[in-house]
Amino acid sequence: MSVQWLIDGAIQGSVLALGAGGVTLTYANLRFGHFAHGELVAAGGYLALATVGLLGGAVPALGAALGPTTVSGALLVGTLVAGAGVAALALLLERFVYRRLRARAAGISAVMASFGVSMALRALLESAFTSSPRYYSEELSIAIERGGVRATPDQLLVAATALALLLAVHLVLGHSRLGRSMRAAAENPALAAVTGIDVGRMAMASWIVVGLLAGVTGVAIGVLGQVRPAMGAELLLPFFTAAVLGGLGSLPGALVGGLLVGLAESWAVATAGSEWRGATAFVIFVAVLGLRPGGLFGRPA
Amino acid sequence: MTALEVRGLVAGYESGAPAVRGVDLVVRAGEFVAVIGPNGAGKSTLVRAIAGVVPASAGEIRVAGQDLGKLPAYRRARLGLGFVPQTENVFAALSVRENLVLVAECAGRPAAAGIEVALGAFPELAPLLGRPAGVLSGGERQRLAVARALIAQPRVLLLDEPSAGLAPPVVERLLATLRALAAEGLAVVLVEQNVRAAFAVADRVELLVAGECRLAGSPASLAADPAFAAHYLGVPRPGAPA
Amino acid sequence: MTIDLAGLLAYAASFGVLAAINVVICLSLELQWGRAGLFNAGVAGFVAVGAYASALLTAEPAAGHLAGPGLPVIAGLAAGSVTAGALSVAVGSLARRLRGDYLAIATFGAAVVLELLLRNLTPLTGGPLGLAFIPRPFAGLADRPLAFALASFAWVGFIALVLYVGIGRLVDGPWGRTLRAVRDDERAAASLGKSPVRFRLEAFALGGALMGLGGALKAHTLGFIAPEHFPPTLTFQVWAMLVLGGAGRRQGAVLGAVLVTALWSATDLLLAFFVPAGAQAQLAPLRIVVVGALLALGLLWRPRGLLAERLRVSRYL
Ligand SMILES: Nc1ncnc2c1ncn2[C@@H]1O[C@H](COP(=O)(O)OP(=O)(O)OP(=O)(O)O)[C@@H](O)[C@H]1O
Ligand SMILES: [Mg+2]
Repeated sequence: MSVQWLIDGAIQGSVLALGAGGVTLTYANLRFGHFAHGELVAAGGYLALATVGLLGGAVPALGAALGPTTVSGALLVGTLVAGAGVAALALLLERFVYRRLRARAAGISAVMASFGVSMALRALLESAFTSSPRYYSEELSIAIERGGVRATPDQLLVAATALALLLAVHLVLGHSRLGRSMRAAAENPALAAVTGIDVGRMAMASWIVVGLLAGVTGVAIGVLGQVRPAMGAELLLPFFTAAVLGGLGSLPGALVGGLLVGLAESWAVATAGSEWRGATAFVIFVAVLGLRPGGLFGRPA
Repeated sequence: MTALEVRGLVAGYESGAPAVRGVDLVVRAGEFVAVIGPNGAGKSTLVRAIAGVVPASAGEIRVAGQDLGKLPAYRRARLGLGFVPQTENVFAALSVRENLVLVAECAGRPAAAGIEVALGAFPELAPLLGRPAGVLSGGERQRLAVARALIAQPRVLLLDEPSAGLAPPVVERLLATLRALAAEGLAVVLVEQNVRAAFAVADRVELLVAGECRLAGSPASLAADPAFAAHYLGVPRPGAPA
Repeated sequence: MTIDLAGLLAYAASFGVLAAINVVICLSLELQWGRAGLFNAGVAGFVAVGAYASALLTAEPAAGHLAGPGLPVIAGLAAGSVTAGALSVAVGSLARRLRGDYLAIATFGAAVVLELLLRNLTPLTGGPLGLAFIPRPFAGLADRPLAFALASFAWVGFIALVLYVGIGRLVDGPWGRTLRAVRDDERAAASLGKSPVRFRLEAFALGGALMGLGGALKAHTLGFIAPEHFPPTLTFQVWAMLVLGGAGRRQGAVLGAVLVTALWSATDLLLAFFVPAGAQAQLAPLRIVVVGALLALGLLWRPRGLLAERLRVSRYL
């Protein structure tokens, strides 16, 4: 068997890591499993698509692909729009749905609401854009071949961006005043408040970071594949699995977890067939729960 | 000058009757007030309500004349109201250093100054700076919690049984530190189970029973009250069987 | 449009069948969430397992793509419940302490994988086309729509009623009291020698089995099933039913099930009669938005549902 599956797995894994990073951050800072993360991702995909449609038509120079990739200048702008737009969407959800539910003793009602939000957002996307797939570019990214393995410039760009973004978020949250305050507010809101931290604002800041990650995740998936209303929801299970595998709440954990799940999926596809890709994550999830419920980097629960 | 002025404070939890029913508490700058009372009297609820962690349903809370009663807890903290809760009073997942730095940052002070203040009060925290606060022993944790509150340089400091679980010499040093801070103008409200310790440091003692202030006065005057002395100081009532 | 009384009655009866099945499923979720505080994000998967198990066991050997043993429908219903119950034990044991978000992810994941299996294990499940020729009780009446609808409503409604009463007995009995104690204060219950994990697993398994029964009922009233009969939106509808009606009370589950089924059918009719065919595909997803908004509003404004659980102080714990 060729080692091509390793490359494919690492590339897919970097995208999963990006999604898992959003899930794990929501869990760490907002204290619940957010089942609508997939729809935040899809919203990012469509926001970038709309931007490409508008800008690419209006400013032809922006429509052209950059270097060997199929990514256009318009899509780069679209990525920013996706990040900012999804952050705004997440803030709206926090304001009108999650804020009050998170405060409840029965924490699961926020999870339940996120389930409803997920269905509703996906239905809205379907209604607005239909469920047929869309693409950022008509062009094909031509694979580069080195030593018998292939990767397209698009794939390399996406993987590098994903890793860089995760690393940046990790550094900022780990070593900045904002990150410390966010962690403090998540752990003990009452103590944070009497320390002088505006806990509500920290939650909003967390949603902004989560929205940013989700928006970029959507663009990443769209560049490598298709833009569809279910593009994020289909990956929710791998996102969660990667986050749990790495240890819920840990960004480096999400990165490693994402890569491992990506590699496992790719291996399963290479050996068992592509229809079983979706089951791989669940098998890993089951194994983690059985063997090491705290994940690789998490504290034992 | 009046540092803290609480008038007619009523506060409690969703379930049941209010735990604090119309408490008045006035503390001058530099004054050291001890709040004592039986378990469940509402002492913690009183200081929590002043700090803004438990909502007050009636009453006024003023710090240096400014009405804080309607402000969220974090604004009160920034306006000079310090609070050391009875439990869960450090961030377990953050390192000791981060715990200290966080308060300094929130108070707009340099991180180094914050650590200096903390180590000045409790030098024994120095070797622990790198550890997660969650692994500290009970006594170490209490010291970190008090150190955190000192860094912000509050006008009014509320402490909810900070001496619980500390060895007697450490308690003595803690109380001496608070006494010294009061001498520099800090208004201290100390909730304390150990009545003797409270009497030793406080300028004034408030006795809280069932959410109401039953007695208040200087330690000397309270000690002279035979009913109080019998109940809280273990002084035998004249004529009672030994 | 002439008003046809028999047609209207037949419509009402088939609505009743739908509502009764949803009542069964919602009662099972009520057991899991309302009584035991267990979050199940994969209801559709457990329902599907019951439906497929029952369908496979009851289909006639001659039915074509699958050589069924042709067992009677009642055996199918039992088998569907047992299969779904066993699956619940398996999934429940995964999230060992059956708490919080891990259980949510485990059930969600189980449903994802089940759907994958239904679509891909074609020799067994018929793949995307699903299974047909599933025996329907009173199928002899099928050419008289009114009689058939009424007969279907009678037997499905009867089962729902039996479950309603049976679950009532169970949750008001000693088992239900312990369960409530475990839900409300795990540590206190554990200190009295009740194993919280065991009671939760029992509630989860029983709830899962009843979801399977609901699925089996669906199979034997429709006569054919396919993966798209058990989409993730089904899970979400059942949750909306329970949250709207009020968890912690069987009456709430029933009310919620009937209301959401009615809302769903009403929007179906509205779409069919008032929206041009071209726009239907675009507007159909909006029904989910309506139910989603209801769910969110219910959680926010009436977190205990229309019929809230009566608070009670247990005499035993
Ligand atoms: N979080 C809470 N929710 C509901 N009731 C509470 C809560 N905290 C305290 N109470 C109740 O409020 C009353 C006052 O409690 P509080 O903690 O203020 O007493 P305390 O004087 O600090 O006691 P202790 O000396 O034991 O610390 C008690 O009856 C207690 O049961
Ligand atoms: Mg107390």
